[in-house]
Amino acid sequence: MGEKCESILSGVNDDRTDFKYVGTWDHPGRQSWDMISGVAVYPTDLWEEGTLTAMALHSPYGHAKITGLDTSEAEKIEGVKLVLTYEDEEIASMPKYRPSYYEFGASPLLGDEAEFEGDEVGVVVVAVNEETCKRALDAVKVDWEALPFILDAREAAKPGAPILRPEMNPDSNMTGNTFGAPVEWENGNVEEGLAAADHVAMIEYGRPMWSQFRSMPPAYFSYWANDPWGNPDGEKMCYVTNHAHFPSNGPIVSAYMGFGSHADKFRALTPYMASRYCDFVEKRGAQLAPLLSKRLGGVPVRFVNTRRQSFDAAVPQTYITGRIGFNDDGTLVAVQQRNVHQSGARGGYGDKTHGHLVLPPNAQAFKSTVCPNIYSDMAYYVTNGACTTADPGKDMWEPVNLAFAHIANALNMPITDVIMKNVKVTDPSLSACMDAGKKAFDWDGKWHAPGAKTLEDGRLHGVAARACWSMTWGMISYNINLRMGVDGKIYMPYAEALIGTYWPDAAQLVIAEEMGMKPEDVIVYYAPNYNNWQQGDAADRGSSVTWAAKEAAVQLKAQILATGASLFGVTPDEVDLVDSMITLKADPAQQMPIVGIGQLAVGYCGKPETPFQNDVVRTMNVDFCEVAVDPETGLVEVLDYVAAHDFGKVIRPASALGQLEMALTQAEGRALREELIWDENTGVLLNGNMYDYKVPTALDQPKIDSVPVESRMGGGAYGSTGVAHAHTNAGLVGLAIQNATGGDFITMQPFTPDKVLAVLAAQQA
Amino acid sequence: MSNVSRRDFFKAGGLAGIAAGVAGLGIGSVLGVPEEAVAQTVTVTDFVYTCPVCGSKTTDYDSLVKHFEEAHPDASCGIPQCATLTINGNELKVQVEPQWTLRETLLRATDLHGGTKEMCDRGGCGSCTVLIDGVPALACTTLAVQCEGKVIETSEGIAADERYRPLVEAYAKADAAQCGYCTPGQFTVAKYIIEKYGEPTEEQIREELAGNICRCGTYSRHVQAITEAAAAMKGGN
Amino acid sequence: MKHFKHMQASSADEAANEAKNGTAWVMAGGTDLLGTLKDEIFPEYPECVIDLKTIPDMDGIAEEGDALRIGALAKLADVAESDLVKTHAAALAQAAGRVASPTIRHMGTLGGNICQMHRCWYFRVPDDRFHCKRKGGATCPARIGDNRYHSIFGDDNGCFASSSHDTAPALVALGATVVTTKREVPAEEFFGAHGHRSNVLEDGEVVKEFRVPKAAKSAFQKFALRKSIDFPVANCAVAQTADGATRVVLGGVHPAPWRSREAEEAVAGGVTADAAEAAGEAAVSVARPLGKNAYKVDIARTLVKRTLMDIAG
Repeated sequence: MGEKCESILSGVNDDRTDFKYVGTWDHPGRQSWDMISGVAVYPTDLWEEGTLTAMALHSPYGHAKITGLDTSEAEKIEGVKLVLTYEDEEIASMPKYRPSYYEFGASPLLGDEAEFEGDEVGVVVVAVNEETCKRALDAVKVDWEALPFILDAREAAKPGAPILRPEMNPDSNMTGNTFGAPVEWENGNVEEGLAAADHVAMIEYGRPMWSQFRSMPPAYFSYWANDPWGNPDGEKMCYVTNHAHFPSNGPIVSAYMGFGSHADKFRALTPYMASRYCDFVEKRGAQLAPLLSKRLGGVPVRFVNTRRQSFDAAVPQTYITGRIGFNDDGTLVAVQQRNVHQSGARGGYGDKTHGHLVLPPNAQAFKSTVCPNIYSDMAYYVTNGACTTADPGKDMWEPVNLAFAHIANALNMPITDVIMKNVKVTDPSLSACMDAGKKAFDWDGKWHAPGAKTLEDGRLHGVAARACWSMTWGMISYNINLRMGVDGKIYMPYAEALIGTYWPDAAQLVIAEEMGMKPEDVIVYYAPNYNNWQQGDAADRGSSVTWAAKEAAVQLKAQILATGASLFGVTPDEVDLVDSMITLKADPAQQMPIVGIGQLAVGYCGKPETPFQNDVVRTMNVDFCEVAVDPETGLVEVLDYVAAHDFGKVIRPASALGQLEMALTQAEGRALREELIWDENTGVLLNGNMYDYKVPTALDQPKIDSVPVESRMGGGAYGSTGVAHAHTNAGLVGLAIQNATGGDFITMQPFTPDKVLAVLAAQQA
Repeated sequence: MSNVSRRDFFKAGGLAGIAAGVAGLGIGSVLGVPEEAVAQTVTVTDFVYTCPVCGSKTTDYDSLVKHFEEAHPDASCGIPQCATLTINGNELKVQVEPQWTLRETLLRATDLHGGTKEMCDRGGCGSCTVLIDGVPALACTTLAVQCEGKVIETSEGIAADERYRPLVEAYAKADAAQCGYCTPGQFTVAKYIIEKYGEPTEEQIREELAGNICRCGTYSRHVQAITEAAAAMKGGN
Repeated sequence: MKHFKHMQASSADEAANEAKNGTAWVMAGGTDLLGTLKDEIFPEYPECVIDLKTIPDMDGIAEEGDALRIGALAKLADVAESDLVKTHAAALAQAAGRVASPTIRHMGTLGGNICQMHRCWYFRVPDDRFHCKRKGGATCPARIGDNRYHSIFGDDNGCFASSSHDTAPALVALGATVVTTKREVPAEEFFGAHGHRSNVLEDGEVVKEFRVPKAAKSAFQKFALRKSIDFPVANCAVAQTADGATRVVLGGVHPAPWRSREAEEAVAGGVTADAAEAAGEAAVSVARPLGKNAYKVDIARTLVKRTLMDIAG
């Protein structure tokens, strides 16, 4: 409360205030036309004459082992080109299958044990078409031994539960974090804190497995062909799509490791990747497609997965239980929490995300409050649900905001006041977001005590607010190469497939701004062989790429001016770049195009003097939500969302605000409908299709009001910072529902009619 | 038409036409797209008939039938068929297996690879929407053999249509595409909306787009782009 | 999809004849059938798919005396927007307008909608993972499984699925007749869990048209989690017939549309706010929810009340 943090602007022109392009609208994305028209080709769209189709056997059981396999009938079918089983020597020699970036338990690329229903296991076939593949798989005779399975992390944590991955942990289903251990953390003394508190409340929080729901089903396409750049040893080059947006984790690295080859023998075919919201899961086809193609002489192989088979990439279940202590003035004085997280059968990145923070995630967020006594422990438990992947960020703050809501209810205070009382560093960012957001939402006009307002149509009205940090995420995006071509244009290559955040277009604006170039003369382009790594695939990382782009642009500009000055016969100080022209400062009418003055290049690698975001949260955001609850059906409608987000500095408004709309629309879906549902008796996924897994439609999207705040406190160019991660907070809707009903908080997301009706029934009883 | 090979045919009126259209519309310079980047998205291949049983290739349909009858007299799947489809104003004779959906056919038998996206492949997302006789239809849930004699329009064709230039520009300006995967399907419905309503209201736009799922939550950007484009088109640009 | 032969029918009788041995399946809009073939949800697979859409003159919407005649191939979008249907069978127009999504309504037909197979997720899981009662198996896995969307009024032939067609309760409420190539069946007797089918059709029987008696007042409401695309959690159609009686039919609560005589009795004296409320209570008084769907009882009660209020006064 009331603490301030200092500006950390660093590097050249970070405090710039005159902007010609940065922060302005109407800069269509450089790939927009291709994406809109359908000219843009995604991995699912690849097809070449002679393409063969590959499919794997999928487990019908929640957990099972193959005890017998007979492929002889499948091999006889005309049109079947290749049948490989887990006994194939080359498959057995391939690197282990690691579906996720930091994954705790690898499995054989094609093994004899399936760890969830739908898992690719045992055999893969390649045939002239999909139909023949299906017939061949039907003809494979498989003997299965069904094994015990567990779908819920709490079940997996129980003593005596079947051990699902004894090779990883023979004693329990606990996988720990990246370091293989449960995490326990204490600050102060929680028992004493609770004993001294004026009030103690229990809090409970749960969320199901959400599908990461990439819009494109996993698609792997691979072929081997001559290297256009010439290969002295005559070895063919492998062309392959990847489906996880870290090149390091794609089939590329896996493949060259397996083939004893080098990374430069593999070329990505993936300029577009479609939405990849922290979904790092690769299917086995990623490694199998290059292998199958190689075995068949390099012909194109299309490894087919259906939409249903993409539902195994999920945000893990999380259960948090605990106690909070607070005083009459609304101050939080003690927090005690236990986190039970789920890892899927082969779970992953979540471990790493939370693990590298060392603290349990919510402890990390509680550390940002004034609360002196915090205890939290956390462990991951393996289940047979799916591969899990990261959903970093907002989960750190959801329990904090739930605690704030309990305090607000108990003391009949608006939650906004509780937030301002308890978050340690409030200035400048949090205060600015709170003020701007309250105004845009009309918080003072709309807030009421829980259960106190009914709308004219009979529905219960509720509002809530929540705070969260805006992550900088700036650790790996500081490599930029810039080149001025003889055509007088500035080129910036990148190697990341696009997932929809427009970060190259933001970099383009910053480069144009710093250099004095017209934006259309700055060409940011996809270069699949460009070996630069991790420039800015995610929304939050995009801000840090802009910082390096700015530094590189300033250096390249200096080179251009040095050349231009000599052509004018003046010193570099006497010229400038204006609208892509070298311009004499003393007489701006005297201009010279940079076309043909030569080729200049700059490689820049460096970081701003920004400490990795840890305890001090410089940039914050506050979201507000208004709901209507139908007391007779339990149906909840989100009427209004306001997101007051401190962007630090908005670089490209169209995409910056678009990120908020994306995250809040996802939040609406997760809050009200989305969850993966398995049959408890068989472990079979029940809702793996787009009718039963309910992604919001155009009619479900709530009204969203994005309120940009610019504190210039972030780690990107001009103090910019990340956007989207913070806002996929389903929990906020739950707080608003409680404000509407005045009843209990619903302890498990999503907030479906059955749960809302149960709260209302309990109130009447 | 019969003397024109498929390759020439596409250069004349198909995808190459779109590429030329992009350059011709000045989008290349507005967007900063280097010309060669556009060229990279244009692939032209000759259509090859493929035996559905063994994968043998022939260059014309009659040879395929001859091969099939000789090599696979007992095949359960029957003689491969072909169909003449009218796509984006061009007539195209291609091999079509009876169970091929229009989406599969566009992917395998034409060079229109990206306009009908596979998201759910079960009719529940709208990403593969085309217009058939002017009305939105799901290419994943339409058999290609049912499309003979009908007029098919894909997003590629609409985007290359000079009349719909304001719509493409409004889409680009509004960032209506984020990851871009569902966008061609939405854009195709957008054309239908403008044809149907002239100047549609937000409510009408959302109603008509309600079968098209966008995970990036761009819906309000479509409302903005369609509203703007409709007004521009009404005013004759 | 696996291979099938394709045949374009020129008449309903021709299609029926070709389909009579059960190895050829008929298809109208295809929005339901093709998905089931892709997922191979049945142990059987058709040798041939017969396209009904090529049959001429089977998509008309016309007035004939006290009834409407609607061809089985009439598109759902056309039914929803038809002035005739809106005027004389409002519930049907409203129901057709709430089916799935706009694009599916352009493709799907009224005949196809009432022949749509159940959306039970056990029935629909690919590769016949659950060889349920409907496919010749011994049990209904929904009975003890995740039945949040299933029947609250018991089973039909051992199946606990819920009917998922939006137009079905409207046709039943309006007292429509289904005309097939073999017979005329009152809509009320048409639906149920019969093998793969959600109705009483036999192999070699094709729906040709619907005769829908005009109703002065009728209405439809749907409850679903999303405002588009979703199948109903529950829906309700009510209609006042020529003799002044009111029919109340729920969908999504039983394997067939559920005509609630209890609710009808409650509004026999006229539809008022109190009577509508009582009808809602009466409708669910005989409900027998499963383990996870008691909430649907509240929704059904509310839908009956609210849909009746749409025709009150």
